[in-house]
Amino acid sequence: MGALRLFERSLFKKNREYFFLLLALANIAIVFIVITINLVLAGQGVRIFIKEGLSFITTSAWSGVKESYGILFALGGTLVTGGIAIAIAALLAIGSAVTIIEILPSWARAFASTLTDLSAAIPTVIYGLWGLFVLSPVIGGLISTPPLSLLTPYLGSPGSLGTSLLSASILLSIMIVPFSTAIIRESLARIPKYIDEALYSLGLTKFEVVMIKLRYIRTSILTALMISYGRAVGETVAVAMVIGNVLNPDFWRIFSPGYTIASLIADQYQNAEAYTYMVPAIFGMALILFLIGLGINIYVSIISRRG
Amino acid sequence: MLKKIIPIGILIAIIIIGAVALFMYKPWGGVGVPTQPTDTRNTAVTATATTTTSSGMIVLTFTYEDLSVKAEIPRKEVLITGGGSTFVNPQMQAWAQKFRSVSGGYVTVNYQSIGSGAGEAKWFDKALDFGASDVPISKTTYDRLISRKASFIQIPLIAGAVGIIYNIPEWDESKCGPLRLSGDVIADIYLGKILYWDDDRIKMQQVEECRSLLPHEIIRGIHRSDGSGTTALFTLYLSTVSSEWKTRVGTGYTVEWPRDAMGYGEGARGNEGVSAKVKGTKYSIGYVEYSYAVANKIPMAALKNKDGFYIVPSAEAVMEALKRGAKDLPPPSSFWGDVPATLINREGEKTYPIVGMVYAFIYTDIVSDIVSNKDLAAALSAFFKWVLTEGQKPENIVTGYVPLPKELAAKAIKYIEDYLKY
Repeated sequence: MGALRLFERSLFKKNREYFFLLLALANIAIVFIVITINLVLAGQGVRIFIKEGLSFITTSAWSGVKESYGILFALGGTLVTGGIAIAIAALLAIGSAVTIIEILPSWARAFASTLTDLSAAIPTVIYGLWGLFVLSPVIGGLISTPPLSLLTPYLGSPGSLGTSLLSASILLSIMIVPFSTAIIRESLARIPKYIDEALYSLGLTKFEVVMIKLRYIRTSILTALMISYGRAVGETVAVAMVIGNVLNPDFWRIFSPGYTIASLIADQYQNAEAYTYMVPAIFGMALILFLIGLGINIYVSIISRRG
Repeated sequence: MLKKIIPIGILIAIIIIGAVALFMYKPWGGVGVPTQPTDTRNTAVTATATTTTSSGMIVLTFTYEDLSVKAEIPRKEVLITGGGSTFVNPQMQAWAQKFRSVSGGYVTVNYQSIGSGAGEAKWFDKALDFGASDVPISKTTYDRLISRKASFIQIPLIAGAVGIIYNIPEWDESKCGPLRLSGDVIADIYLGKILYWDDDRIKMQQVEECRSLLPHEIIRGIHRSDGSGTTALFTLYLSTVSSEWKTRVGTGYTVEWPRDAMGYGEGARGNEGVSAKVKGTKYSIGYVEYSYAVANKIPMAALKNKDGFYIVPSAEAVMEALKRGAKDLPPPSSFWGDVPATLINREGEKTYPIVGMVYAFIYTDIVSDIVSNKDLAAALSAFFKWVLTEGQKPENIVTGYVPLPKELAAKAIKYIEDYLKY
């Protein structure tokens, strides 16, 4: 910081506007890059929409040989895994945030929050390896023995090593918990002390106080979960390792293997140029993934403004 | 006014000085090119017979069995950029490293394993000096090359094979040997027509006392989920031996697997993913690159070849198929779409049926294209001549890759000499 201040003082003394111009340039560059990316996505992707029309997102097919592409299975897999992941993550994140702020003694608080923050820094490929060799065999075992196996006719059965949409969802939820915990934890901690004191002075129990405080920060919780959802649908490596990589048109059968958009892109980009329409199909998918992210962001900014 | 300009001027000056310093630093630094004084470079040349022509080229002679070929290396630093096939990458890196010292440090080959499809496309766009691919130039690209009146050649570089791996805990390899399978059975397994390991068509191929070992368990069909040359070769084999496979599924880097749709098949990323899944899944079957299976000592099934012999993949068994395919190699600028099929399911007592090659694509009009590219053309010619001779010798072959037989190498060298003029 000292260096920055020195830099600012020597270079922009009495000419602060230049400093802000420099900042503005960085911002403009980022906006420019994002716009360019989207132009490329749209420019390349539009060819597949011309060829396949709406059936690009309403059918399930992926064949370079036949040049037929429909990404319903991957789109469905993305939404389903993201949805389940966020549902599990919500419970875990709220639970651990409340534990850290309300229950743990203050000396353990810093330790626990550092630990959860640290688990956000683990590379996703490590989560993927752990998911493939530890988590998904356990889940695979659970869903192929009664009582869960009774659901097999409706929800399908896992692939080898327990790979399934459910395994991917659970792995994703574990991966996004640290991030959402951090946001929820910080907003819980930001609630002014006098509110606590006022609530307790009314004679409320700890449980009731926590519930009221959670409702107080519900916008933050929703924001945290939505941003985490955005991260979950874009996650590539870890998901590609545990989801089974099968073209599964019945993507709602969560006990069976499937695909997500991100893992399909990771699988297919390498030799895509050998086929006429596979590159546009991949860009088209990426565009849809971007639109999902954009929709989430718009939704988040609307609700946070309302809150 | 001056007060405003001076600080900005200083900032720009610092940036420029920094950039120049970074740029200048490279030749002295430890990264990249190890530098020696120019006049001592010749001592680094390792090949036999070194002479210098009047044009300033170093002349080297490369040999492979009774082949002997002369190549010229420019006395100037040349960078060859190639890219494509991920399968050939470890071998290509080994070749590039060795050839650098052979060329006395003059020629650097920079190979990027971006995938066969991308290699072909980037080479077509002239972003690469050569492309390497697990399949020859595709029909679309070929037609575009012809309409552009481009002159180019394609040559084979090295060979490989696809091995079938399996996991049947009951199967006693020491007593029964490797599992025996035929192409039509493998096709029907992946088509979903053969469901269980104890199917009669699998049973009857095994030695009599081992037939009862095959359990009544559903076969799990594992395949590559990422697009790959391995899948292209494997599906080409299945299309060759099964007409139903050919019409229903076809051949490609990625295909739609009928067994997946039945719930008895699934994908895995890369050779390592497939082998890990087969290892971890009882009653599964899968296919991997022969070199990968050899390097990791994974047992492979014996496949029934055209003449009815059961063959376990080995360098010799692959070589047998290559020798038979060498006779059918068409002129280098014609359409090679049918070449891979000439190596598949060949006759012979020792011939392995799933064999493929890696192909390199080179433009032969480099000299006329950009005037000063004579050095590049000479370096390319020398590099591929070296790869096809010295590069095929055991000491330069990475474990699991199969060298080309002499007949095939000789043909490829002739193509280079006849077409790549400079």
